[in-house]
Amino acid sequence: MDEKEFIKKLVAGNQVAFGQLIDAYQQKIFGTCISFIPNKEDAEDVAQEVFLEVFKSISKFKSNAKLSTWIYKITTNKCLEFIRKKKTKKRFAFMQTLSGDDLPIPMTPYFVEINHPGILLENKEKTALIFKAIDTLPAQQKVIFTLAKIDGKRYQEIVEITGKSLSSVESVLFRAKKNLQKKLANFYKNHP
Amino acid sequence: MNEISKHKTTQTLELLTQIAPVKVSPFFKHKLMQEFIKEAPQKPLSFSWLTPQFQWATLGLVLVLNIGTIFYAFSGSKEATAIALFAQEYALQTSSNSILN
Repeated sequence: MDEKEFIKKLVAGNQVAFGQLIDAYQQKIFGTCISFIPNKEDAEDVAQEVFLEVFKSISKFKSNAKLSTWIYKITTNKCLEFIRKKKTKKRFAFMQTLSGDDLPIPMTPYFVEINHPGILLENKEKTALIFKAIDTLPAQQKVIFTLAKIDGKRYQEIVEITGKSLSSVESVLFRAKKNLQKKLANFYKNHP
Repeated sequence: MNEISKHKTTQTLELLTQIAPVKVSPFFKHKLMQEFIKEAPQKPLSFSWLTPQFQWATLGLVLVLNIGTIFYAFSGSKEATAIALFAQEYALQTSSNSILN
């Protein structure tokens, strides 16, 4: 089926079309959600919200872009929104270092309980550390690093989702990686 | 950054490549379709144009037409009776049911 025809059916509220949309995208959207939110139940809840948002907003979709790119943008925004809401529920006290806005990795419990079936038990603690460190990155770095290194998206897909140029994505990714290395090194220096 | 920290940092970051993909729950689609059915707009009925306002307007029009017709009918019959009486009075009727000529 032509994508335009498919979108028309979605706009008309066609149940079969919506079912086909779920079949085509459920694994991909869930995969992206669990990359941002390493908790299976929470990631599924957010993925559901993504599909419902797609259904509600499909009439606003501009057909000059790809449907998949639009869906991934919604997914990223929903994940970030979830993280923001979860964090405001938990009270953190971040201590800023003397060097400026370089946030250390917070030692308070992570705002989601790590429940990621893809993470081995022996790696759970260290992986939680990485997710905490990623969470302290600036928003752009967080998004691009997560999409590239955890969700496994190709650079071209990230370019389409974020609207940035390829060189910008590469540059942000490089900075994110450097930042993470610095944060982890500081952590291990202070916690041998 | 000392060597031990560097080594630990590299090891920790490598864990990201060891995260296995997770399959979405088999009930995900079913749950979502239930939500979709709840939120989907109601399918329009065949006679969706027959709104209450339309029905009231039609009733009003029918009443007006009926009343108008009744008035017209009564006013018309009065005239016909008057004309018939006049014709009878002055023997102007051409046809008569009387057996007398």
